[in-house]
Amino acid sequence: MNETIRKDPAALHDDFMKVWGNPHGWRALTIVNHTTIGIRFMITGGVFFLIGGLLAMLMRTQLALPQQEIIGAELYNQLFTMHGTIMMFLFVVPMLEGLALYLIPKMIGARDLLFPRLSAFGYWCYLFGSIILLSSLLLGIAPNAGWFAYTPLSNAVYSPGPNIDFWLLGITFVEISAVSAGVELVVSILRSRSPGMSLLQMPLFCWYILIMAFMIVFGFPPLILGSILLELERAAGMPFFDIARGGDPILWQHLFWLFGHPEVYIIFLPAAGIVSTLLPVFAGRPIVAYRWVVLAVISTGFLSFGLWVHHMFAIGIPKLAQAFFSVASMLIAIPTGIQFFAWLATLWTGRPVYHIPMLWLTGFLVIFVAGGLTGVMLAVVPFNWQVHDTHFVVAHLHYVIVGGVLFPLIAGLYYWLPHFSGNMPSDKLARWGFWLTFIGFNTTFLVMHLTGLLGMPRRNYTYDANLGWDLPNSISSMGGFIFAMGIAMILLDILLHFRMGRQAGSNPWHADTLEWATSTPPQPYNFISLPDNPTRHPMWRKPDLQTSIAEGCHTLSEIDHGRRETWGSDPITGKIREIIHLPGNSWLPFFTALVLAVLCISLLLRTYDLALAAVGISSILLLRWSWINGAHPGAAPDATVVPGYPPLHSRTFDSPGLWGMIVTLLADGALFLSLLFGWFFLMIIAPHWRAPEVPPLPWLPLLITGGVLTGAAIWYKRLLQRLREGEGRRLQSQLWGIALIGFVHCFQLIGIWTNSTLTITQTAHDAVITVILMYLLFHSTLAAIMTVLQARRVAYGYVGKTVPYEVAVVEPWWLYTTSVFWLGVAAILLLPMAWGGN
Amino acid sequence: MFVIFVLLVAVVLPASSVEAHDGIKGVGDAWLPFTISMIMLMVFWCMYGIGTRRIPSPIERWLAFNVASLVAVLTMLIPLGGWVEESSAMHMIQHMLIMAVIMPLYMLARPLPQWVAVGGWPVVWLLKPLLYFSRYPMHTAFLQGVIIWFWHTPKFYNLALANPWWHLIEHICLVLGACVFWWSVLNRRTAVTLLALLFTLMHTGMLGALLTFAQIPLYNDSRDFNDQQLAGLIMWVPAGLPYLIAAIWCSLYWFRSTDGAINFWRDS
Repeated sequence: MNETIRKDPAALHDDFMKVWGNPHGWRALTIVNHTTIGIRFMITGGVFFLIGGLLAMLMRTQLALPQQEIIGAELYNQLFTMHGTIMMFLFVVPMLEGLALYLIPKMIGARDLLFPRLSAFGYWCYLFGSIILLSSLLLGIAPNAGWFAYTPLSNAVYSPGPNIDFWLLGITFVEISAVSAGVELVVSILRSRSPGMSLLQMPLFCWYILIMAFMIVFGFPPLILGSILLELERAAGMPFFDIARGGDPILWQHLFWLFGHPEVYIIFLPAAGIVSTLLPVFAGRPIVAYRWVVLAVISTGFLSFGLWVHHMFAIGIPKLAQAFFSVASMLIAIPTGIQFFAWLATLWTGRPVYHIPMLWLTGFLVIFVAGGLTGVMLAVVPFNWQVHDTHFVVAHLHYVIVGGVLFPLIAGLYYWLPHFSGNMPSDKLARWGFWLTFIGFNTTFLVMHLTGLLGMPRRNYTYDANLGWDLPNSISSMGGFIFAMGIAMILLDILLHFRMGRQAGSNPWHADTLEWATSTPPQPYNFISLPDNPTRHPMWRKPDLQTSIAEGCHTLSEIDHGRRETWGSDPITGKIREIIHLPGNSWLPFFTALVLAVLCISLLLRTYDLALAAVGISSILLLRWSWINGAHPGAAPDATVVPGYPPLHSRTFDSPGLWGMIVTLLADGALFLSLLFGWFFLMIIAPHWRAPEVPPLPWLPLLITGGVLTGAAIWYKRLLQRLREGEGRRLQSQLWGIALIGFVHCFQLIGIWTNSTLTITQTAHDAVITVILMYLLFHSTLAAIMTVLQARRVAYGYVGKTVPYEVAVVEPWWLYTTSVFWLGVAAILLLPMAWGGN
Repeated sequence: MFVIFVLLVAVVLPASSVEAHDGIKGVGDAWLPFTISMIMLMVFWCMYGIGTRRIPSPIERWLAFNVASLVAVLTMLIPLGGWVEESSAMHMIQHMLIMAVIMPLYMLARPLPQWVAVGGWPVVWLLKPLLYFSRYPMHTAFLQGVIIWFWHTPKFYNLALANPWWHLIEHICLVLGACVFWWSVLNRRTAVTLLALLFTLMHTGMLGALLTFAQIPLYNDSRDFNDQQLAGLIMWVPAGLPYLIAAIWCSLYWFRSTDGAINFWRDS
């Protein structure tokens, strides 16, 4: 099937740019291309890194000498809260996501991510969310309860101002962006690899990102839930974390660390992925023990979901539990050790060349090992208690995160800089940058271990003189400024290299992966033609790949149909299954995110009319978004395919949309599971839990309405079954029927809710039930609305026997809605009876 | 044969704990099921032995089966000391052994050909529904989850403690749930198995967490608070390990099976 006709690269490029080209001016806001979005993510993340660093400098200035009053206690609280929040949520995660969004399609030989509008939407959500969060700093009402916002400090009694609301709403907004990037990356990696790239032929970076994306999908929902609950408690007085009314503040900590521990690996895995990509290139040989590394990454993902309790050693959990988790925490050393030995063996058996990125990798190896060792110390409970809440912990976490994430990230930045810009950085400046950063970092934080061991507590804006803390603090502050100079040097280097850097040419590092087969800087379409790729090291096997791709020697180089296309492949083997056609530039992501930002602000100002309007408008925009899809002329102007090619994905049942739906439902399921966990947790553990004598909701109506919902879901399932068998008659009327039943169910549910005696501000019991009901109602309503949309689309001819894929996309939602309904009912009505049985 | 065998394990293990409940104080009505089930386990163990003569089984499977049976016997004998009766933690260890050690080993042993060779067609006929259900790892994970949560709610847990026959049913449920779960997970080379394992790891961990942090005594066999916490922690931490190991094992197998996929272009 490979064509060998060479075409004129310049003419092909012009043709492709007519379809793939990016607009300029205001219309640049409509761009959905992953290269642009990835770069926007990284630049924005870089700006927040500088802002976060600036806050750190302010704090170091304050702490440089004892009893200074440059910064007061209140501002200091805001500074350390915002420093942590910015670095974790607004810098590291988006930066790594941006890098992944930029690189993944290129590495797997695709032209774009599979949900381009979603990537743009994710970016705008991130940007607006972080601007809202940051504006609080300018207004002097920034969050001030620590980056983990523990209750009760963060509840309405002890933090009455809007500070914490900024944190909760802003972070939730940014997390929507993270989860959407997670879904997008999972589906793109699994479904759009170039022909024949089986899972085990993927570059290791893709494996790391795949696992990271899965961890985002499972790990972020608990925090999203926690934030929603805390915001409901603050705004509506629903007591989830209030002991007196049957809540429990410890629940917040569980939800936070249920996210927070995986988060550590969510940011470490991509960084380790950078190491595993760069080391083999500079050692000049394939990585040692590829499969073991993959296994290590998978098991890291698994382990990280079981170990969250070791962040809570000092809150009075049972001693026995501390012993167990102290031991279990050591387990993580095994997969990390496997990766380390694989890296060392690769260096040992290769011929390493010490370019700038390698310098940073060496720094990473040294610092991260040190951070890991203090981590082992902290896993020992008595020691943990000893240094709890001192600067020792601060030093440890900076060794882990700066050493484990920032150093590889800068290594990666230098490595891919020629790819971003086409120019090489300056060697001299880069070396200055590295050594200043390395020395500055170690001066700051190595000494800080000592400060902590000497007993200086963290999060205090000043300290008394002559406690032995004066000298180490001064040294740390000086180190901090050297560190900052190093970062400035790197920044200067990057800025200058656009102008003064020498041309990089193609593949300057002699790398093995496919992203170097694009032009540098890359064009929006990445590849003119998509090569078969049955090897882990395409660029080492065929060094002329770049030319043959540009000359259209490989597949899918037709563009006269005007569609943006890439291959849809089997998730495991990489065999070609269909042609995936992608939507083009659109205003919808920008405006939807903008309206959501308005929603966010109106919730902050507590103007609920405006909030309601924003919800309405954003749903209309989202419906419009899903309307331009499939057979809509805006999505696929011309549906003909070259003979011999597989069909368009919208003409099949197994589309990336279905995969996206399933992965989204996994995230949704993680949220629901966390909600049920919260319900059980409060029921069993909250000291003042109160449940009414009679069941809060009536049995019979719930059973009936559940039956109605189940009926609708079964009907939908059968409808799809028929469609699969090629039977598409009365499709529209059936869809209307299902939607109608769905709405009947919704009204019944609302009726049950309004007739119930739930007093949401009185007991945690009623408050949680209300949240579960809201959750169920949301899902049922959306199911019905989506079905209406399908029925309308049948009328327009966008959905039907030949274009069936959307019907298949909606089906999992119906099944999920039914499942959570019954689970929710069982949890509300049945389980309390069973738990109260002793 | 296989089903009978499963039922056998189901009878043997609960009977043993049934024994424990009345064991020391009075032999009573629990003695009978215990003896019968012990004999049955022995019989089926022997039958597998005979089966392997007709259809030889690879050494690792043979080992898996025999180790599983050995552990099963030990699990039956431990309660004779009456420990399970007086300790939630011991009880949880027993459950863990059944669900996360014995059953996966049996499933790895794949004794089906040997059973069929000795038992004939009725086995296949009886087995079909189970096999049919085990095609979907997530479904079996859900089923097992429902079973675990149901029997660990205090009401039903204590019911089983109070009545040997309910205890029997409890353990039949646990064995059947673990059986279909492990059968579908260990014999299916798809990535969904990883999801099923992660789901199981998560929800058993949550249940364990609830038991660990509970502020009131939940189970009638808890010696004291420490005992209940230990029970929760056993479910949370060590009982998670088999699922983790299974995930690694599945990935390894999966690697091996996808490695040959070089012939990549569509088969048309």
